[in-house]
Amino acid sequence: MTYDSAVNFGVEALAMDYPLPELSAFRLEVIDFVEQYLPADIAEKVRLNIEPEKNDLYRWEQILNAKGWFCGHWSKEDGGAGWSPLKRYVFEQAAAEAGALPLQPFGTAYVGPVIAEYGTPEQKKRFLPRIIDSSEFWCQGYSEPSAGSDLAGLKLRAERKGDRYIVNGQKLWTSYAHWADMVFLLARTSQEDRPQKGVSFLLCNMKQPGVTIRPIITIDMKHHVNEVFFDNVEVPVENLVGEEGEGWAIAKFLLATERLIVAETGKARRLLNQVRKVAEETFENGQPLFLQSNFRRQFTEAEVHLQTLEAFCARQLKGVALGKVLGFEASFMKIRGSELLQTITQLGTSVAARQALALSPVPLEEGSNQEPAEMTEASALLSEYLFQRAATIYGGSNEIQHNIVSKGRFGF
Amino acid sequence: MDLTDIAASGPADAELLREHALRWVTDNYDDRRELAGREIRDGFDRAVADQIAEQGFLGVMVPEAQGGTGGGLAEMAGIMEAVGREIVAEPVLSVGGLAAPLLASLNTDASNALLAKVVAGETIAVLAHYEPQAGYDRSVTSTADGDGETVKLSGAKATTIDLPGADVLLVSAKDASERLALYAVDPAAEGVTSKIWRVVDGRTAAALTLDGASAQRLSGLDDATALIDFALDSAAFLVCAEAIGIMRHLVDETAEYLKTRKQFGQTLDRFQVLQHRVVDMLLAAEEAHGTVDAVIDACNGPGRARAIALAKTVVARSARYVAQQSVQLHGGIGVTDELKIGRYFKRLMLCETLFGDGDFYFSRYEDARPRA
Repeated sequence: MTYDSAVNFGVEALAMDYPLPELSAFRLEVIDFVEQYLPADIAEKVRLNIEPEKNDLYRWEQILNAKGWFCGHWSKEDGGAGWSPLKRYVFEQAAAEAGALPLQPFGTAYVGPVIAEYGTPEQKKRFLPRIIDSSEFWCQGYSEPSAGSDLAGLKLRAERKGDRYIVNGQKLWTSYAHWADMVFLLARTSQEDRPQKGVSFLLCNMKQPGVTIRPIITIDMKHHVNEVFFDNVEVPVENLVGEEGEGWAIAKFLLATERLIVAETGKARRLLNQVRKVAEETFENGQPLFLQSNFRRQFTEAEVHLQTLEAFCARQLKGVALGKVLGFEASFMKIRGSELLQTITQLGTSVAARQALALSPVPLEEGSNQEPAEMTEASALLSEYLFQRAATIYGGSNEIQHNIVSKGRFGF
Repeated sequence: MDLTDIAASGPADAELLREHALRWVTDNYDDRRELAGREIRDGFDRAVADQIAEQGFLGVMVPEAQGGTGGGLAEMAGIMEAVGREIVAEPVLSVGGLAAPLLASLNTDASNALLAKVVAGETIAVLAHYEPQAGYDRSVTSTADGDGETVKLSGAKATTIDLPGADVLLVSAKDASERLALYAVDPAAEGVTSKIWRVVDGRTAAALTLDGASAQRLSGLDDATALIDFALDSAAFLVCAEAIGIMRHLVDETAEYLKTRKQFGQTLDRFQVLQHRVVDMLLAAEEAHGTVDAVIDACNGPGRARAIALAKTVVARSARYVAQQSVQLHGGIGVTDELKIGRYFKRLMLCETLFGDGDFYFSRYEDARPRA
């Protein structure tokens, strides 16, 4: 292939088939919607992988909500559109592919469905509308210093005193705690039972005395996660979800719903397109890197992996539509989904490496009359590569996912 | 015993120099020292750079007749391993491993005058050679107009680490006779534009645009391609030695972490999948170390470029594996910038790719295969 024909290809023309033809019209509708309504400044932040502000997320949620798509997977009764898991998957992936700002899952995907399933009528009335209208932002209080892959090792204590729980302890890796109004906590309400049994699911106000947030900067030099300390923090008993000691079962329910969106194939499509674009604009010995045989081979491998994962997800989700409950199969999606994002962004780093792995522009000195460096898509991919090192760790490391499958499928 | 005695007393003393350098960095760098340059434009701490010069690390590869201690790749590799051990941010490789030996090889009055200042630590000189259209390829299209001592340079140079803190830029360009030459450029000169970046490990880099920038010729009348190529191969090799220092540390730290971190009621070192993984990390590091050592021995013969290409190919693979698995086995804390594991990971990414990545050197190794 000549250089000209490669450039003429066009970036949008990854030209891969999508494995769910019955939903392809909806997929294109979502892509069109994002292209038309995502504010340009937010689109630019996604393209260049610049940290969004809370207000950016708020704006985008409002736009989606006006269309009825923000919590589309919720039942109509709870204010959603009653999407099937398959339709929800197509929405999520199409939005990500089109470069929409990723939605934070804590309210819409995590605690919302939990409250809908286990909550009292009062809890539903109190919390669900404020998730849909974006007036309350949630974070997830699960991991702790001694409870990572082994979540049952959690120690944060909630002691009942009259009509409140008094919460003491620490959560770790709490994403966007610094934006949050509320946190859903897994807390130990009994020391007596086996570790899983003494755990309860509590809804806790973050904006109160005794809650201390300490930022953790990750290797991409961004602030996604935090340590959160709870020092005699009060939770009214009406914010207990389900029964006392039922927290583990609720966490498992949440995990099952979370599993449906665990493979980010839409994001993978977007990033693969971006890798292609930067590789066409980067030169090696006067030729575009994209035309180098080594690079092309790796790019095509990534493309094959992506199509494989999409086909696999489609098969699993069609099973769900027929009433199948996803068990260990979800671990396949987690394993391959995380590996794929790592593979694609790693390919992006081979472009960034030709710019000495430049990560962020240094501001000009005062009075300088020079032009500043500006963020590039190659640097955006490098930053994403750094962040994606966590993809094989969070939500149950890939080693744990292998354990789940070996136990679930073979009974090892 | 000071450094001069060590280096002057014979070829067996590369090991002594290595130990000296390791002791010096471990004594002088605590856990946070490497971060001093992060908030500033230079990307490194000038005061520490001065101390490094005082240690004599910058003249190790310079012949005694030119004011150095007359060592070679073996001696400098020991120092680079120490640099890797504490991920030293100051420009040891750029200056001591590249600019100084390159200037020494030019051996003109102009280059020797600059070299004396560089070895003494008075002047930080950094090579700007690679060009955006060339990528890892070492070809040059920048040009020098005019002849005589002072010429005007035009062209573009790719983003290069340590340039923002350099006092003198060493810029390669084609002269009026189409011969590649090396020039000294004042970074503040008219016609020099630099775009400055913070790179992945916190150091800084600059991309240069030269538009009629005044420059002084450092190389002699002959084409300097071979000398620059030789110097870049040396640097590619030395960044491998740096990677060895990092990998050794990461393997040890990761094994230690597995012994202390408890999940599911036992320490992680009880899990076979993790035991095997850390063994594979060790294997990768050992293979890289063996290849680097073997290449030192092969570096005096005609197969030098191919031997170095082999080292960089192997080290790039090992570095990627060790870096990624160190983070994976540390779990969440491996992904923080706070813990040093994450910072070693990022530095290893640079070792893997500076002066060319594994793919580039694989091709170079392949292309340099002797005829059967």
